Amino acid sequence: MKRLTEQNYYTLLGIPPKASFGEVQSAYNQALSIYSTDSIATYSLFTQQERERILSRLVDAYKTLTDSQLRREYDHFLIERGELSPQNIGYPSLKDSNITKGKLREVTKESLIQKEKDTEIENQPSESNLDLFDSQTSVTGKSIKIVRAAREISLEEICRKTNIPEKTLEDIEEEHFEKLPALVYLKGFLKAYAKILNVNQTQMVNGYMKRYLEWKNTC
Amino acid sequence: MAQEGLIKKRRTIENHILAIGGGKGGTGKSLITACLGICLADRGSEVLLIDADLGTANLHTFFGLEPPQIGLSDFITRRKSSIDSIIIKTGINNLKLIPGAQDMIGMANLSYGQKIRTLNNIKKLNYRHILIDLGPGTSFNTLDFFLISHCGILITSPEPTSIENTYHFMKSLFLRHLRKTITQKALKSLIDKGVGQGDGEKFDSVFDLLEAIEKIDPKLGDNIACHLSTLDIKLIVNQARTDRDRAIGQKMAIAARKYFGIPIDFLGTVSYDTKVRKDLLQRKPIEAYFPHSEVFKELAEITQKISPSYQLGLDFSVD
Repeated sequence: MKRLTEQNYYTLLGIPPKASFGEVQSAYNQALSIYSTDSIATYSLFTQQERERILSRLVDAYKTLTDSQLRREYDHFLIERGELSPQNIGYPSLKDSNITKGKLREVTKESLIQKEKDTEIENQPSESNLDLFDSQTSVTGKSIKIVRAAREISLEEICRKTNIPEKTLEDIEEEHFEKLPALVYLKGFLKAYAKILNVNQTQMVNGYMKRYLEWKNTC
Repeated sequence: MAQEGLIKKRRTIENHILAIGGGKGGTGKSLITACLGICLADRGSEVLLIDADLGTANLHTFFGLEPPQIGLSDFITRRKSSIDSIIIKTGINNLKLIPGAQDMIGMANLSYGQKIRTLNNIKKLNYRHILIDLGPGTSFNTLDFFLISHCGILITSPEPTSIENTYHFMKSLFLRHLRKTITQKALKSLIDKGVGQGDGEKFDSVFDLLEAIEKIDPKLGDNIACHLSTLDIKLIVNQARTDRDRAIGQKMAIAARKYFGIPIDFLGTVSYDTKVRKDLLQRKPIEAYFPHSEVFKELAEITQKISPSYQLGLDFSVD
């Protein structure tokens, strides 16, 4: 039995080593909704410290498994540790590309180039990539922050690209609702922010507004 | 050694014992026990319900029965010598009941001898399904009833307090199981320190406890993991009102499975139903609105998920 934070990335996300990028993405989304600070389903199971460790491990898992180079290195690391067998690695996008059945183990230079191409295509924002937030539930500032961390985008960068003051971005993430601008501006900001994060704009705006209105109703 | 002629022939009984529990009162354990019983009986199996929510027994109410004169407490205190003599009819085909009776003690106060005698007699009962309604709480006795069953079903509501109590129940179950399977004294005293936040020498998490155990006996870790994986725990979320409530069960099961290393399956969600509540208040027997309510449809689906397990051979005989 291993601690959650000691489980390998595949076990942690509950996906097979051959999982596609899309599967990694949706497993990550699900894991975030399970382990995030405001998850009603698990808040009483973990201590704050445990939860923070799990979340940071999840972000590492996401970063590694959605980057083909890092993922290859990680797979080899797992093979060396005996946690993975060489037959089991390779996500479908690589394996299924141009390698015909008869030549399964024969890796040519051409096929490697094709692999790289396929990987690039996989790395493009896909439809599932956009649906990062659950359409049913509210979106918290914390979950936006986690997505931003996973995308490795700094507040400063977003400020530069969108002209939204850095302080406002911070207030959105930290949920300092009382400091946020009027609704019409806030919605516009969230939309621009969602675009940079490459997530579904409607879901992020509506989800965050839900959260905002919950706060407003308690005032 | 007994003489050959006197040896009692072993009787193989293929019953399936399900214990229904959970940390908190008011999550609908009794209602769900009654409904699952009706659904299973409806499929043609002989079913027995046992109201082990001693002290506050009320399973009979769901069948429109008057508070019974005899019950499980009469058997426990030996006022009735045979467990068969306290079984009553519910008015529904294939479905019988052992009521809890009103006068008692409460589960936590059962003596060791009383508990063992009761458990052994329940195991021998010849019914296809035996459903034990345990009532709230995490006393050792409640946990032991849970642990002798073939399958334990935890009922939680989507309220944060109820969820917290469900994890507390799982944690207690985990420790109780560990305590029961480990023989070394030094290790037992480690387990007795407990797991949780706050006072004294408690371990922060179950992993810290397991690490401490492994330090003393390195081989034991795998054995413990193996032992824990034999438990069969199910989870039902009751009184769900929103889609958010409906999403909770699966998440709880995934997190708890990873955290405790116990197979915990999410069986399904049961909706909050004002009509059920109204009928209960009027003391209408629940089968009166069967099978039209949403709640029963959901429970019928859950029943299907419970039944196949023994067809897979997971069920075992008890003598």
